[in-house]
Amino acid sequence: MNKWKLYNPGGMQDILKVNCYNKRIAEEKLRKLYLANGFMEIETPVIEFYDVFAASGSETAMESPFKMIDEKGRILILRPDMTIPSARVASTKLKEDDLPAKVFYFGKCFRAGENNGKRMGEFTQSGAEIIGSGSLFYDALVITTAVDAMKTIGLDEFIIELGQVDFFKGLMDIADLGEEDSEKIRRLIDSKDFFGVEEILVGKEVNPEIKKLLLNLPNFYGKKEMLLEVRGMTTDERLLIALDQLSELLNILDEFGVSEYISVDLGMVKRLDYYTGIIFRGMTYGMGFPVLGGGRYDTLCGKFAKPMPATGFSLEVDRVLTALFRNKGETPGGYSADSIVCFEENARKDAMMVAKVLKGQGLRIEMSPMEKSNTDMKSYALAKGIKGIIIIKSKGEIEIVDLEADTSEKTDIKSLTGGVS
Amino acid sequence: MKYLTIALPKGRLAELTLELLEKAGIQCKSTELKSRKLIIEDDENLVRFFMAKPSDVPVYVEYGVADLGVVGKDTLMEEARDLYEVLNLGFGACRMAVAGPAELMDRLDDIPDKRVATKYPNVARDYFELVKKESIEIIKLNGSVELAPLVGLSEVIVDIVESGRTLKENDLVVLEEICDISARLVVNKVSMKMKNERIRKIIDGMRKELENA
Repeated sequence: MNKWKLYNPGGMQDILKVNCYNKRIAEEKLRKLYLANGFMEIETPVIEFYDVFAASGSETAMESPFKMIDEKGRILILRPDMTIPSARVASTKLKEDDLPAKVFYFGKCFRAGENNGKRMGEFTQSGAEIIGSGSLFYDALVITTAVDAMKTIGLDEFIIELGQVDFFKGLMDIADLGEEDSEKIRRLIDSKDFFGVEEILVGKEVNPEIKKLLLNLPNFYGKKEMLLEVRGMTTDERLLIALDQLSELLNILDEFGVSEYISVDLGMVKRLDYYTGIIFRGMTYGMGFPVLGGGRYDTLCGKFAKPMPATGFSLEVDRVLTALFRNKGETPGGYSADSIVCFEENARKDAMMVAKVLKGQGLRIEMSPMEKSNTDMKSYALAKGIKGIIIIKSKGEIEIVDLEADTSEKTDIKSLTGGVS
Repeated sequence: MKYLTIALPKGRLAELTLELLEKAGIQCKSTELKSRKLIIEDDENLVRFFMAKPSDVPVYVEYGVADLGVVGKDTLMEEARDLYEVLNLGFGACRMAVAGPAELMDRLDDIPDKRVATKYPNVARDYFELVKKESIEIIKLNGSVELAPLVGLSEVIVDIVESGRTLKENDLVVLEEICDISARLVVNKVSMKMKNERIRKIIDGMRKELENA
């Protein structure tokens, strides 16, 4: 009957030792970064009404296996992302004076194992959103914060790639190919499949300028020069506005001093869900999938109460840490105490005093009765990366074992505690 | 500089790909190919090749353990992985088709909830559900699919057809064509950007070779 008691359900994992420690350290650094940029932390429930996600048209939510029914028969869901709840909060709970709301969060999210475990079923997202303003400056601020987030965690080789949903939507509106073909073309362009796009467009009555742009769209990636080149290929006002917005964003990012991390791909037209304007994703070595994503979602809040423009990003914390590990290797120790104070039975009180004094000096101290042999205690300490063992014997005798230097010295309680009692 | 890793499908496609790569300026000691080694490294040019089961190539590339890969369009359609599909290499050409006994010609739509035997359950489902808007029962097989309609396991099959000889010898015909198949060059979405210069050079080199051929 208890066959499964030893295992984690699919997509769930335990995070231990240095991995858990590093994750918390990363989160502390991120929290500091967000606060330094004027964002305020919010917490939203892990369980939401399914309607919250259905309103956004999110297919991920529809296909989520993590659903429950409440006492009134309504469908609940374990949240598949953090952006939609943030939009719900801003749209329903924040007042005019709170706007634009600059919020950040850390949270566990839940999705069905996407394509055999690209992502765990339970994963941590951390991100920042600016809700209540359409200013391009805020797109730049969000992207710069994303760059700083990657750097602060310890990555130095990465790219934040920008796309522009309006450019593609504009092209499709003018081409007027109907919903089915438009969706096909979106998928083909997103996989840079020139031939596929050509196959669909062959024999279709499409404005030649637009046709040329669509056929070349998979190749429109690079930096500022690429944008200029594309600009020369069109006269359509809507497309020009979309391109100019992207150029202006690049200028602001330049002023922020983060240009070296930025590139543009006009053919980035991933399932667009709720995104409306500038979108982006972050990539680095050692991780075949994007480690962060974000963009502008000006219509999402309107699906709840108050319509408001918004932009934000969210970082896949677990993926970033995996990439960091693959790029930089293991970060040793750090997650355990500096020393173990271990004591003979009748020296318990002395041990408490020693521990108190050492902790007062800022050291991390683990206390342990003498249950193991000296050799076992040493291997226990070494396995955890603990550097010293302080053995408190009866009558105030003390032995300090330095595991790094592999030496030991004898002292007594008075000299170690400086006579404090 | 980091290694550029290329995943090749074991067999004929690998040989053709290496020929093309060589012409495009990427050398590979092809003698090593004949050995049973799975990974061949060229530490001078920092290129690494590995041989995989064809249907696994998209997986290696999607996860980014291979930056590039060569794989048949049939496998790509079946696996539906999130990749860049940048070049049609032309070789390995065949068709994906619905086949069955000749008496079903033009009568395929008359059979409701038909049973379809195939090695490509996703391709078959997409074709019947999304294109033809009908429900079917998929029977997944691992080979000799032609047998299924002969012994009454299914009404029709979905499979790749090269010369059509196997079909003919078993009194089966192509009832409907789904699409053309050939080998494709695929690229991991992150690699395409992180190692852009080198990958673009390879794509351009191969494209030029293909255009000249």
